Amino acid sequence: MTTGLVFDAVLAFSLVVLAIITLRQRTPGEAVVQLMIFGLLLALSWLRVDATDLALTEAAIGSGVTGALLLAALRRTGFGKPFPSAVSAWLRYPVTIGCALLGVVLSLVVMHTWDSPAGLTDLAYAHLKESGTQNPVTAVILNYRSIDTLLEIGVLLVAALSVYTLSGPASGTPVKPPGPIFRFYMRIMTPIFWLVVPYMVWVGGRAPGGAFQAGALLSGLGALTLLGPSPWPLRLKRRVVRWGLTLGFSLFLAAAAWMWQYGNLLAYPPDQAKNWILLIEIACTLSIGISLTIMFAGCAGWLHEDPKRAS
Amino acid sequence: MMIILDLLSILLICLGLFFFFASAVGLLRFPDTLCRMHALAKADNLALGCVILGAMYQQDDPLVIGKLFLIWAVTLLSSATGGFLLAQRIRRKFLAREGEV
Amino acid sequence: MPPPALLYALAGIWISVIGLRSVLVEEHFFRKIVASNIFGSGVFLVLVALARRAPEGPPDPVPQGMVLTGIVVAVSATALMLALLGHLHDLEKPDNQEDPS
Repeated sequence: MTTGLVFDAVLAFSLVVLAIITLRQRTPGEAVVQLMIFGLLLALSWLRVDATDLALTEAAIGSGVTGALLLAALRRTGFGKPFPSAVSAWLRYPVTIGCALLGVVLSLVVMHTWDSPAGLTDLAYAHLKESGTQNPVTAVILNYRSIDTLLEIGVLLVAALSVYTLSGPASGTPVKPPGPIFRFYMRIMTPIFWLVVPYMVWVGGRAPGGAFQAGALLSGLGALTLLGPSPWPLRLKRRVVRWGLTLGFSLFLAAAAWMWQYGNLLAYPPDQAKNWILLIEIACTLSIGISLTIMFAGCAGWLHEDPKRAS
Repeated sequence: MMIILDLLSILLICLGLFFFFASAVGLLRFPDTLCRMHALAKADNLALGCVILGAMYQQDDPLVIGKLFLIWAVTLLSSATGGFLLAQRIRRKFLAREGEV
Repeated sequence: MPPPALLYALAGIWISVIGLRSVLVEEHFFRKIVASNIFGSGVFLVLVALARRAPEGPPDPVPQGMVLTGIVVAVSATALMLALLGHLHDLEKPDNQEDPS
C-alpha cells in the first residue's frame, strides 16, 4: 500500500517536472521528443487509476500519433532552429501570477469536493447488460453518449479535410528511398498490423480496446507505408480515399437516422445494439485510420503528389 | 515449484531493471548520438527481454504468453530498424559534411 | 494519507496551468502547439483521476469516455494547427527550407 503510494507520488511529481522540462527545451526537435516521453509516462499514470482503455489510447494517439505529426511538420519548418525568446516581461509576469492563482484555486476546489458522492458509476453499470457490450467505456462512448462520438467523428473528418485543403502542392521535401532493411521490416510488420487491428476492434467489446486504438494502429501502418518504397496510400484513387474517409461519419449518421423510428436518435433496441456497435466500430476504425494518415501526410507536405524521391 | 518460478521471475525482472537503468545512464551520459543509440538498441532490448521472460513465468494462459513474446519480437524488430535508419542518416550527414570540406 | 488519485488530480491541475501559461506567453507558434498539447494532457489527467474518486469498486466510465473523445479531438486540433503553421511557413519563407538530408 505504502509502496504504491510512494510510486504514485514520484510519478505525479515527475509528470509535472517533465511538463516544465518539455516547455523549456531550446529547439523544436528536443521539445517533441520530451513531449512523447511525457505522453508515455502519462499513459503509465492512467494505468495506476484503472483507466486501461485510456492508457492504450494515450500511448497510441496522444504520444505516438501526435509525436509523428509534430515531427512530420518539423520536416518542413526545421528541427534545430532554437526558439526565439518569450514575450516581454510586462505580459509574462501578470500571466504567470494569474495562472498560479488559478492553479491554487483549482487545487483547493478539488481537495474540498473530493469526498462528494461519485458520479454515474452505478447508473452506467446498471444498464451494461442492455448496452450490447461488456466494456463500460465502450458502452459510454458508443451507446449512452454515442451522440458525442458521432460529433467527434465529425470533428475528425472536418480536421482531415482542412489539412487536405491547406497542404499546398510541392511543399514536400525529398525523401531518400529506404534501404532493404526497412523493406524487410515492412514485409514482416504489415501482416502483424492487419492481425492486430481487427483484434483490437473485436476485443473492445469486453476488454480494453476499440475503434480509437485500432484506428491509431491503422494510421501507424499508414504512416510507415508513406515512408516506404511505394507510398500506395498516396496513389490510391481519390474516390477510394474519400469513401473511406467519410464512411465512419456517414454510417454513424445513417444509424442515427434509422433509430429515429424507435423514438430517439441513436437509441439502439437492446437486441440489435451489439451488431450496430460492431458495425459502427469497424467503419470508424477505417475512417480514423485514414483521417490520421491524411493528417500525417498533410503535415509532412506530401499530400498532393508522390514524395519526390532523390536517388 | 511456485516458489522457484516466483524467484526466477523476481531475479529476471530485477536484472531487466538493472539493464534499463544502465541504458538510461548511457543515454544521458554518452557523448554522441551513435554511442547513445548503442545504449538504447542493445541494453534496452536485453532489459525488455528479461522483464518479459520474468512476466511469462507468472502466466498460465499460453495465449498471454504468446502475446508477451510478440511484444518483445515486435520491439526488437522495430528498434533494430529504427536504429539502422538513424545510423544511416547520421552517416549520410557526416559524409555530406566531409564532402563540403 | 492522501488517496493516490488525488495526487494525480493535483498533478494534472498544475500541468494544465503550466501549459496554459506557455500557450499565453510564448511567442513561437510551434511552442504554443506543444504547450496546448500539455495543457490538454493535464486536463485529461484531472478527469481520469476524478473518475477514480471512489477508492474501491470500478472507476466511473463516463469521464473516461469523455477523455477518450477528447484525445482524438486534441490530435485533430494539433494536426490542423500544424497544417496552418506549415502553410504560414511556406508563405513567409519560400526559399528558406532546411536541407533534410
